[in-house]
Amino acid sequence: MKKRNGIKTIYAIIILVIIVVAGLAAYILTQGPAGVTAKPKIAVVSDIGGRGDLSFNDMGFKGAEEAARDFGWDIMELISKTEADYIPNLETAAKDPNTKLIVGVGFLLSEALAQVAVKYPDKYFAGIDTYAQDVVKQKYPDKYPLPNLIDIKFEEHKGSALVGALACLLAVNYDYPHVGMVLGIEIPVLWKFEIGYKWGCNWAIEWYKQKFPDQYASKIKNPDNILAQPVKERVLWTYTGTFSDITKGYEAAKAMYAKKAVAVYNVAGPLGLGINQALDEIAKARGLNMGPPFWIGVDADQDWINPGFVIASMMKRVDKGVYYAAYLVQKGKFKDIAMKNNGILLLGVGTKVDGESMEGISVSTLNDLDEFIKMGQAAEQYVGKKVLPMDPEQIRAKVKAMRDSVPQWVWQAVSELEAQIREGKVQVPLPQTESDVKGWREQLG
Amino acid sequence: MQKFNLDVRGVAETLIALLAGLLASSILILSYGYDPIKAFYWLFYGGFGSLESILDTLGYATPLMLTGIAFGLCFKGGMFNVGVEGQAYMGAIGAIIFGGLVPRLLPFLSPFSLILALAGSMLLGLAWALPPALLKAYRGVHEVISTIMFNWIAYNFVMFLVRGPLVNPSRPEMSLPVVENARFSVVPGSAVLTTAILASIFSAVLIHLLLTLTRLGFEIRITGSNIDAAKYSGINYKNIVITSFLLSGALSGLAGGLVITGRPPVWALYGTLGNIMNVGFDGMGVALIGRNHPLATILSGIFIGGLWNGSRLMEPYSGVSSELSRAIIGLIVIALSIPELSKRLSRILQG
Amino acid sequence: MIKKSLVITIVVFVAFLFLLEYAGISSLKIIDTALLAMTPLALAAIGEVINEKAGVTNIGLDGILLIGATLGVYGAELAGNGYIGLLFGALAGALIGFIHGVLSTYGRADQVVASMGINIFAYGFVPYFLMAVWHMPGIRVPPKEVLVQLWNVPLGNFYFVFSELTILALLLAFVFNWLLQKTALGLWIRAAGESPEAIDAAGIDVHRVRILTATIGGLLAGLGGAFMSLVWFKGVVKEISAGRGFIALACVVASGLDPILATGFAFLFGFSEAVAYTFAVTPGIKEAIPYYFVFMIPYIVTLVVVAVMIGKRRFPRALGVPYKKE
Repeated sequence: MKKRNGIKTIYAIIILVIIVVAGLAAYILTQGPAGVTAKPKIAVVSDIGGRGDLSFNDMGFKGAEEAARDFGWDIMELISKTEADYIPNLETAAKDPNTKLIVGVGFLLSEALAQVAVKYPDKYFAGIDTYAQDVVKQKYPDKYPLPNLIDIKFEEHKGSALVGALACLLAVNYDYPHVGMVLGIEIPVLWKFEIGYKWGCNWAIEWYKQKFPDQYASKIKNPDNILAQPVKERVLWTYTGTFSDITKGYEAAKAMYAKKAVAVYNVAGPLGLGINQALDEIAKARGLNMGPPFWIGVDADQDWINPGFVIASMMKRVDKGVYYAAYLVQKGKFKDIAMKNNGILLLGVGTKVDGESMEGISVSTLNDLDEFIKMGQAAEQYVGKKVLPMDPEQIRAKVKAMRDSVPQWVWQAVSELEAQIREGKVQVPLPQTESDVKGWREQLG
Repeated sequence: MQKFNLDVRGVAETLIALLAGLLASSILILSYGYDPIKAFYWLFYGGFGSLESILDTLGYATPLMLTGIAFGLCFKGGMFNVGVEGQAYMGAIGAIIFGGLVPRLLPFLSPFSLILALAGSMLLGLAWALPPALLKAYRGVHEVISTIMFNWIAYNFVMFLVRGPLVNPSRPEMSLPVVENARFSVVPGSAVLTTAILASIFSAVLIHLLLTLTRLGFEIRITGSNIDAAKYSGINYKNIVITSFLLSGALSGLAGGLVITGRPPVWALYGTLGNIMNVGFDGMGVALIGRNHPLATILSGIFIGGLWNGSRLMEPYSGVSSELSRAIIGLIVIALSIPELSKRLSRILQG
Repeated sequence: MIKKSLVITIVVFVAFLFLLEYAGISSLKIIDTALLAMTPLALAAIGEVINEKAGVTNIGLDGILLIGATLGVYGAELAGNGYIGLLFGALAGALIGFIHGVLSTYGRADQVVASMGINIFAYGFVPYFLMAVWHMPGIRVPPKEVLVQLWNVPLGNFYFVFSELTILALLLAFVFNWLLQKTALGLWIRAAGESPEAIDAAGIDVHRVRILTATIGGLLAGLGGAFMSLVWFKGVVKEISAGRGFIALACVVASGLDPILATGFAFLFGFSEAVAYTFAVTPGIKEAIPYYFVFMIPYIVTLVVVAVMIGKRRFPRALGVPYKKE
């Protein structure tokens, strides 16, 4: 008797569930999308992993937020969980009648971006680090260049050269034998950072030899100074194969600091936390209030994360790039600029677009620090919780004290390199292929 | 009549678990001030609400079904093949080698590229499952340890191959793509779905038939439910272990191969392994929801695929973070683990 | 017999340390890194050893690590104190363990399925939580005051970094081993896993024992997670566990449910990982081996040790099987 009742109840439940589900499904399918607001939108499609890297993706979003705020737009965020999401995400954004600009962040989206931009000629598309126009050239040669698509690229190699010079001169000054670099997964974008950094280091040492020949001659006799190391051993570097496992960043950085690297360049997003930890241990052990040793931030201004120990950050103004694309859409100049430049915007050191300065790469300054501190404060107000590690005034003071403690000639050298890059007097290598990279590694380590 | 009753109960239990999971997630969503109705609306609309989204959902489901079946097969035999992830990676490499490198080196083989790619992927997946199988059969090393370690070794090894010998010289962030002949046709109207799904479904049916009709399938199932009975009835335990693993590995490998040969627009493996990451782990979830039954795994694969697909609309239109779809699946899996949920519920309902 | 392999292990280990020194690598630095890496693994592993001894399988360790890390930071910020944060993370883990325990006993749940569900849930819940609570997608760096400090002990030229939690993990390994072998509770736990009918007949509630072990297991794993975010890395990222929960599981299985051996495996893994990453940075080795293969070292080493030295281990008869009272 009990068993039959049990089975009957099960049947009843099933039938009920099926009816409910079917009803919902019918309702959904007949309704079509609802809840779409009327404000114009900027859509940001992020790469796998999305935001929270304190650098790349976050900067892209920052630019979008600022554009939205200034132009009165809404933001639509789509996170890609796998590469299969790229086209569906971009199409979802494009299909929404209110989106005006769709931004794809990350070079892996290039194919998808090209395909969707071709399909929706009435929408504007911008890619960060992408080579979508190249894809268009290959796949749809009669449409090249697409007027509604701009690839925004950055000259990371130039910025990395600047911090590489900075790092190596620190080593020269403080008598350290090495500098370090922790990278994530070996993808071609990171080659630019890797080779640029090493090249900058080399440039700096040559510069020092010319500028201060006497000190050079004496320092080179000191086995603990970087000048005394073979060229290929100056920079301690490794790829870690991950953009998320902090332990590995920690272990790599710890090994570098153990070998007395004066500064470690973070080219691995969140692994910066691991690098910071490795550095922090040394600071605590020696009772240091500021570096040396240091680490170098990337993409965003990361100087505030551990004030006094982040000597500088290699800023890649992805936010400015995104903002600029939105600005072009707002002013109706998008197609012009796109056509004038074959659909590519290369933002770097000393870049000018349409007569306006559009610097995409720079070494962080105290002004940049202020900007990011303000961002942190705004975030704190919004969330009601602390974001900054200490009082803003303290942060400013510590960073300034750290910078002042480094001899002026080091900063002068970096400015000189920057000027030379700007005037085209030196060419920072831009490795494109495996053989390029191999060649440079043969020379520089 | 008996069998019919059992099936029906299973379906009911799964549906109830689904509802329980959705209910629990609604509470979660509500607790942070978002609207669960809106969230689920967009979730399901995004996954199943239009023809295009259904097609895309099927595209997402394609490899998940296979890794699910692969895991489920071993599970039926009482083993946890956590290595489906690594075997899928190796399968992807197999497809690239046999469907990309070989046809380029030996053009006369080009017309057979697809077959080569799929066979290659199954071969490599199988080969990768062999060491853990042997370690278990002859050395008693628990497969959980060996497969986890092999997953990580595969991760590093595949990255090395994609960066090195198999790199695409003009696009160094990716591996060589498989040649035109080795690509499944894209289903019109979808950006993700190709005819590869037929391969998945076909394999699922094949495995179901294997498990229910063949002697091997019978032996696997016996070994899974009662090892001692299996040994006493003369089943060669070592053989079963190895065979189950090899089959499972081949299926996972095929799943990896389908991601390469069956997914536009790149038909290659990214240097970050982004397109193949988690294919194995997500497949485990699919298997568990499908209670390790091959045919049910097809459905649960479609369901999970739909959740992945739909979650992209959840975030922009309802504000709920798209990662929540993962949490929802987790809750459903937990709810599914309770076998007599429906019985208990019905007892409660009866008063 | 165990003593002999222990001696061999120690000899090989010390010899290897000398080799490292000879190659210019500081072995003390490797060891302190290894101890730090060992801590979350060992805590989770010891907890799961107890759990499985009583017959409950929980493969959701990775998820609990993640949740412990995240809720640990949350609790620390709420209370303004790092130690409370650690407690909070541990309690979060304990809660999950408790739920798993109840589901496994009274719910007669399939333990593998349920704990897999915990993992999947955690992977989705944590990014959602980060966004919902702090409006920061994917990462949260708490203010310095709420962190728990690591100890820095200067030893001549070097300094040795470790944490109280490392010492706790080592202690717990021995304490739990003693507990299992020498106490009444330990007997009940082992019996619950081997022959639950026996202790049921003796009047001990099998379900209560299992729920207890499941809760302890979750608590320790949660503590391990909170360690990673509050003590070690001073922040939580949405993927901070990075699959380490499964490595802990491997340690559990490899040790054959021996808390001390499991901790040993955790140390072995941390040690070989530290060595591997140091090798990757050392100029000489770079040219010889592509770094991908160097990174495989910790996994290969663990596997070889298990295959060669351990081999077959017996697991409790009633592991993973819900107990039905007659």
